[in-house]
Amino acid sequence: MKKYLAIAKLSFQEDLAYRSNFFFYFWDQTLSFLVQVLLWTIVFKESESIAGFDFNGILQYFIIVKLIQIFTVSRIAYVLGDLIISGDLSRFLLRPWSFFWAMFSRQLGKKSYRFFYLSLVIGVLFFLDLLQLGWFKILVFIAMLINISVLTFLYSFNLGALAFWATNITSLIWFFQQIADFLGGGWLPASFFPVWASALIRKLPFYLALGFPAEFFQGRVEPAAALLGIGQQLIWIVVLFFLTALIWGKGVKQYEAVGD
Amino acid sequence: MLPPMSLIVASNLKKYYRVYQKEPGLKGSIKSLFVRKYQQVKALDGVNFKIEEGELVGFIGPNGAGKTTTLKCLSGLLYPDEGFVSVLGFNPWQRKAEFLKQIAFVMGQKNLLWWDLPPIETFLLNKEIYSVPKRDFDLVLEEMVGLLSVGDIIRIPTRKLSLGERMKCELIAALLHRPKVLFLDEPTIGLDVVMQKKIRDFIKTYNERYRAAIILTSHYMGDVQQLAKRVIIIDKGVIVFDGELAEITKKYADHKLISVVFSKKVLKKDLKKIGEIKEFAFPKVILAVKKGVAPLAASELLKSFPVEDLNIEEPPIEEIIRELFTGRDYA
Repeated sequence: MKKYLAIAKLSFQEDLAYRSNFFFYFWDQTLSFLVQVLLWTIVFKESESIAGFDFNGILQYFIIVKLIQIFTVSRIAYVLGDLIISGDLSRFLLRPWSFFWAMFSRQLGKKSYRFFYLSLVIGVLFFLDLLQLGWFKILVFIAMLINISVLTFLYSFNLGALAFWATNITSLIWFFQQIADFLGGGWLPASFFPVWASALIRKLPFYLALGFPAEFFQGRVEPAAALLGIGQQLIWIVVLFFLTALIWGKGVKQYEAVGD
Repeated sequence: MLPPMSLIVASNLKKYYRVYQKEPGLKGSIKSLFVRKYQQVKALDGVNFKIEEGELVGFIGPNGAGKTTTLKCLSGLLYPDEGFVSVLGFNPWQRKAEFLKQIAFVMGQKNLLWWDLPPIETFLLNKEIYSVPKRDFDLVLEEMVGLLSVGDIIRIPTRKLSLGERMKCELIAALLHRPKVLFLDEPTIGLDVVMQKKIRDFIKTYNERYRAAIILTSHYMGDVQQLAKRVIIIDKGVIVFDGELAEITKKYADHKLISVVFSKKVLKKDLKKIGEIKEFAFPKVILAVKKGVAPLAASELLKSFPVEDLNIEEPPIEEIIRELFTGRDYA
């Protein structure tokens, strides 16, 4: 346990060396959000409300979606893919640790820096009482964020593991992440789709990891349904965890057989 | 009770790769989408050796001979197709934590150090990963930092260090847990002569102080000559020589070199009668002659030519090995 804590601490320090990175990432996200504001201004000239969202509601939805993404995004797919293709994975395999948990701790360390920013934002909102946040909402939202971080890590880890079989996976990773974004409600809220599609989307884990918590934050989800959602997230974590173990095991065997 | 096994045992080790071949051009690319032709490459084809505690073995061979593949099988990175491997009594391929805690694999071109943080941070992380007690850690770190004289650089971010400084810190990071078995793959690659010597001296000290078994691969014969008593030569996946370094010269060198400095001009064609001219840079000439006739050739030179200085030497080990690899039979 101590070694994984040490990894997390070191990753935190490493990320501090790239403070400006996060700063630019943050502004890049803000800029793309401004474009969205323009777009929605035009759309809402025609009507007051679309699919249960008014102008303010839709902007709020996308702000929350962005915040969730900033906090939970995982780059492990690219990191792992690079390690496998370059053969650098070898030096990680020869250390007395579990590679998966080492990478997970690394992510945790890096995330704590972003968590600091996010708590600042939520803290300000809380004290200004802009969204009528209560303790229940804050706690459930934080629980969801933690689950989502684990989910996106697992998803991303598996995408990276594709490099065991394919030699050029950058576009593959990007493609699967766009799909996750789209089905998760990152482009449009689920209610904008036809009824059947929206019902389908709401059943998929992607939505649980993005649109669902955003809608909950906006007060569009009943407390009981929110708790059920957390339960579903946990189930998906377990499922993905076993899938990861399976894929990783097969992949490493392949790696051992081929070498580099 | 079985007799104690050697620290490292490889017996009939085989590793075959399947490589796919693509025909050139666009047509070949499209064709390879559907039908792929595979070719089998025998990276290791029945390798046998044993290495004992405290031995420092030089592992040499041309590129693609199977050096790195062997090290990968021994460290547990590759699963051998056939044969038996045992290191420290473990099956390396299982990569058990107790096994990994007792070995280290240093690859010249790959680094363990965290790029943006000073080396000391990596050292401290390794202390946790390898569960090294604080007292041992402090002691070993102090000793190694002293030996490599890196006291003032371990607190500078790694990316700002020179290649040599980084390599020194790599070695420390790899050895802080005092591995009993050490694999060194090209540890001095790209370093200047001063740095090479420093690293060699350090490896030697580590070997002597901790009685660690070390396998070293290198393209620099200097590394091997200075460090290893025993040498294993591998070519095309087969071991062609395993023994003391000095034995190579005895076994494979069929000629000696006579270097002569003349006081007056001599004619090439006269010298050719005595031996093969290897180098002609007047006044210095190097002649190669068959082993048995060297004394005879020397006296002939002294008798019939204006000789100022004369030396009979063994051909340099590098040359013998180069000749070995350029298509002669080993039998």
